[in-house]
Amino acid sequence: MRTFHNSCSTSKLLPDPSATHIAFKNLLLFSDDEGDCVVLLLDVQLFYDQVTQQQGKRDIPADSLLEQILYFIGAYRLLNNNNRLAVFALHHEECQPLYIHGGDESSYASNSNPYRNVKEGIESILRAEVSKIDAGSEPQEPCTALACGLSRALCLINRITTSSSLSRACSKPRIVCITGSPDVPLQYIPVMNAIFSAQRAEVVVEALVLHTKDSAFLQQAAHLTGGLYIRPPDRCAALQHLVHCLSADTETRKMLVVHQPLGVDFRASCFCHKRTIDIGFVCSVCLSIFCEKVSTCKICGTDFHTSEKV
Amino acid sequence: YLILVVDFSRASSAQDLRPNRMTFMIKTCVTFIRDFFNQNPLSQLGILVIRDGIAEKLTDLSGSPEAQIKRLLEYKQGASGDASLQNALDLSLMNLKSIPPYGHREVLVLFSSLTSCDPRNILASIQECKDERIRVSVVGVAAEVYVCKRMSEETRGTYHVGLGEQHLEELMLMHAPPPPAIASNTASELVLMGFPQRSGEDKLGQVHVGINNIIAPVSFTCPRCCAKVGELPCACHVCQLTLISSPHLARSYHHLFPVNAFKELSSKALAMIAREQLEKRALSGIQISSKMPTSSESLISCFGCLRDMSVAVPDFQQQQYAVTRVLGSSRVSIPMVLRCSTCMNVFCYDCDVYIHESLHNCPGCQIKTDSRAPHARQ
Repeated sequence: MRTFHNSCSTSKLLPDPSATHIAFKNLLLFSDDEGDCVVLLLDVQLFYDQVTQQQGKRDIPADSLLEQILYFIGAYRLLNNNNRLAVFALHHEECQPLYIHGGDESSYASNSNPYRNVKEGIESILRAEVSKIDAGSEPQEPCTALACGLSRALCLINRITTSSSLSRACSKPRIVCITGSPDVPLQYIPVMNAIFSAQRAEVVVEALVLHTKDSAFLQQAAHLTGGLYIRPPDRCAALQHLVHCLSADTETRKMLVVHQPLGVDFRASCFCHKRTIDIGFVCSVCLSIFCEKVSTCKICGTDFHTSEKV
Repeated sequence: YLILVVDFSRASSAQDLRPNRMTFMIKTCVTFIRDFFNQNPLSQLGILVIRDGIAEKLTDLSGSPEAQIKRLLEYKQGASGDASLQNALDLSLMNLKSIPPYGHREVLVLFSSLTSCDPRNILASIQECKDERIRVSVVGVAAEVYVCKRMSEETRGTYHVGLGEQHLEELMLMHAPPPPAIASNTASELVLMGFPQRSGEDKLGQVHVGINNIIAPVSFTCPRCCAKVGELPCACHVCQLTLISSPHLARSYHHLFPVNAFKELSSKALAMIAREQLEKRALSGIQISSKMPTSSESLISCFGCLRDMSVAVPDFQQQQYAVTRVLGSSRVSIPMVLRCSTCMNVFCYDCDVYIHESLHNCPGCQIKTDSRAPHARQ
C-alpha cells in the first residue's frame, strides 16, 4: 500500500490521494475479496503407465505428473485465502470426489490435507485397477467419465453459488479438466447438456489436454463457455501451462495475455458410422444426423417420404 | 417457426401495468425471444405489429435473436388505433405459407385490446389457419375475449389471460419450450444441412463475409460452395444450404431424452440405507476409503453436490452425531432426500431441481451409459 502511494505521488498522475485509495480498495474488492471457485476434474488415465509409454520421447513418469498437479493445487490455494477448490478423479467406471474445500463446511472438513487426499485417492484407484487387471479382466478402451464429472461439478457449483453469497460481479466459477484420453462418442449428448447448463449458469469450462489428439468435446465446451483450451505439445510442461494460464481467475485473466485458441471444430459426427461430416441429412423428427439418405430413421423409426417432396 | 403478433392498439397505452402496457409488453417479448432461441436454436421467429387497424411486419422470419430484439426496442411509434385480429392472421398466413411441411407453424398473439376491427368474417381466416395446420395461441393482457378463445380452440392453441405482471411473464415463457407435436400432423423429412468450420480469430485473416460483404475476423465456410457466412444458424446466401453447428442440434436433444423423475425416500428407506452404509464401513473398517476423505462424518451425502444429508435420517440424529454438530449446521430444517430409480443414487432437493430444470442429465446414470447407447435408454 505504501509503495503504491509513493509511486503515485512521484508520478503526479493522481493528485487526489483519496481517489487513489478508493481505486486501490476497489481493485482489492474486485478480484480478491470473494476468492475464486475451481473444480478440478482429473483423468486417472493420465497416470497409467501404458499410456505414458505410447506418448513417445520427452515424457515424464506418472508420479512426476501427479506432483506437478499437486504443486498447482498448492499454488492455487496460496493465491487467496478464500479460494475454493474441489477435486474429482475421473475414470471409466465412475467419478470420485477426492477433496473439497470451501462452500458450507457441512460435509467435508476444510482442515484436511489436500495433497494427501488427492495423492492417496489417485493411488488407491490405480491400485484397484491393477488388481483388476491381475485378476484377469480385459483391459478397457481408454475412456473417461467426463459427462459424470461435469454433471457433478455443476451440481456442486450450483450448491456453492446459491448457499454462499458469491456475487456475480466477481470472477466466474471454473471447471478445469485435465484429461489424457480420447472422447467417447456415446457421451456426446450428456456432455453437450452439461455444457449448455454451464453456459446458462455462467460457469467457465477449461481444459488442459495431455493427449496426442484434440478433444472435440472440450474444445466446444471451452468455446461456448468462454474458457481456455490448451493442448501442449509435450506433457513435461503441464505445470507451466497450469500456473501460467489456469491459475488466474476469469477477471484477472483479462489483464493477462494467455494462450488463444485458434479454431474450433464444430462439425458433427453421423449417427450411423460415427464419421465426422461436413454435410449431412438431419431427421426432422429426432434431429439425428446421417451421412447418406436412408428410407427410415434408425433412431426414431420414422419413414421418410422423400420421393414425393423432391 | 413462430410469428409473434404484438398488439399496439390504443388499449396498450393504458397504465395498469407499470409504466404502461406497451413498454411492459415489449419487455416481456424481449425476454420471451431470448428464452425461445435458447430452447429452440433451430427455429425462426418473426414479429408482426397490430396498429391502427392494420397489421405490419416488423421483422422477417429469421434465426437471430439480437436483430429482432433491436428492432423491437427501437419501435418508437406509440400505441394508437384499433386492433385487427383478422389482418394479423392473414399476414401471418402469408408469411408461414412458404415454410416446408416438416416445420411446426405457430402464431403467438399478445393481445391487449377488448375488440377486434375486422374487414371480413374472421371465422373464415380461422378456418384457413386450421387448414394450413397453424397453431394460434393468445396471451391476453386485458380481459377474456370470446373471439380469441374461439380462435385458439379451433386451431388447438392455448388462451390464457394474465392476472399481473409476473403472471404475464410466466404465461409468455410457457410458450418458449416446444409443444409436443402430434405424429400424424407433421410430415417427416430428411433435411440436407451443412456443418461449417469456424475460422480462427486471427485479426490478420479477416475476409469479406456474408451477403453484405462486411469484413469480419470470424467466419464460417459453407461446405458446399465455400462462401463465408457470419453467424449460425443461417441459410448460405449463395447456395441456400441450411448451415448449423452441432451444438444447435444438441441443444434440443434433452427434449428427446428427458431425465426420469426422482422419487422421494421415506424415512424408513433412509434408515435402511444408513444402516447398509454403516455395515459396509464396519466390514471394510481398516481399509482407507478414498471415496470420502472424512468418512466418519458423512453417512449419506447427495451424489450431485456432496451435501451431507445424514440429518435427514431419523435414528441417527441423536445417536451418532454430537449435538453440537447438528446445531452448528446452518440448515436446521430436515433436507428432502430423493432417489433416481435407474442408478439408485440419492440426491438432495436443490440438485433435483437443478438436474430436471437446467442440467437434464442424471450424474449417476451417466456412468451406466458408457456401456450402452444413449438412444437405448428410452
